[in-house]
Amino acid sequence: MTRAPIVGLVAALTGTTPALADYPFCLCRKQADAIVCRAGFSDGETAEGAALEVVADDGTTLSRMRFGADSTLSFKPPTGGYYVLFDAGPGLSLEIDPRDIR
Amino acid sequence: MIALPGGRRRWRFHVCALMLLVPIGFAPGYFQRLDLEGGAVGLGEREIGVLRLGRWKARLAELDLGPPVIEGAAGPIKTFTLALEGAAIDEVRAAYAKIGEPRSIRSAGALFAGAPYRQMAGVAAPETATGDSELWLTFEGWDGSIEQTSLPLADASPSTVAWLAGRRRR
Repeated sequence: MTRAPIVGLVAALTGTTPALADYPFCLCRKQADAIVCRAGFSDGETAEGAALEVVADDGTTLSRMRFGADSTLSFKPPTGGYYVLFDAGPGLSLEIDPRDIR
Repeated sequence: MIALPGGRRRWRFHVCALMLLVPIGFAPGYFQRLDLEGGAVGLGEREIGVLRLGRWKARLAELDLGPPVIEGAAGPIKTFTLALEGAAIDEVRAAYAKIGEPRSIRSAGALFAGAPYRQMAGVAAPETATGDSELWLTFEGWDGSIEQTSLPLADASPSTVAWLAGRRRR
C-alpha cells in the first residue's frame, strides 16, 4: 500500500508517449567488391518491401531491388557515375552519394 | 531534530508530495511546446520569410530555434513549417524540403504534412551538410508541374549551421 504512490508517480513521470515519427535512414558501406546497405526508420520499423535503386548520373535506373525482412541489401557498384536511391514512398526517400559510401 | 507527525515513516509521505511538485517545474515549457506545435503562437519560433516558387508562394519558418534533434539511426532532423499562400493553397499537391539539391523529384526530401495553411516537415541534416549548404524546396502541383527554389541554410536555420560547425570541430 505504501509503495502505491511511488509506483504511480514513476508511471506518471515516465509513461508519457513522445511524438513518434518515421524518419528513414539508409546506411551503405563497402564490403569487399560489393556495397551493403541497411535501411529502416527511426521509430524502429524495418524497411521490408522498400525499394533501393542504383541510378546512373544521367537518371537511368541501373538496378532496382527490394529490402527483405532483415532490411539489408547488397549489390555490385557500377563502373560509371551513379548514386543510390532509397525509396519507401513520397517523402520517405533518400539519396546516397557514392562519396559517402566507405 | 524536528519530529514529523505520523512517526518515523512520515518522511515518505513528504517525499512523495514533493515529487508531485516536480512536474510543475516543467509545465511552462510543456504548454509552450503544445502552443508551438499547435500553431497558437504562429507558424514557428522564427519566420524565415516568403518564398516564391514560380507562380506559387509560401511562408517558411523554423518550428523552434534549437539545433537539429537526433532521431536514432536517421540522424539529425530539423523541423520546418510551411504555409502555402494564394493560388498555391489549391494548386500545390505536395511540398518537399531537403538540405542539398535533389537529383530528382523522387528524392526531393521530406514531405510537408498537414493543412495547406500550416504544414510541418522534419528535414535530415546529412553528414556532408556544411554551413554553405542550401535548403531546397520543391513544390509539386496537382497538374504535375514542378517548381523549386533554394536558400542558404544559414538563412533558413542559423542554429543548424552553428550545430553543423560544432559537429565538424568534434
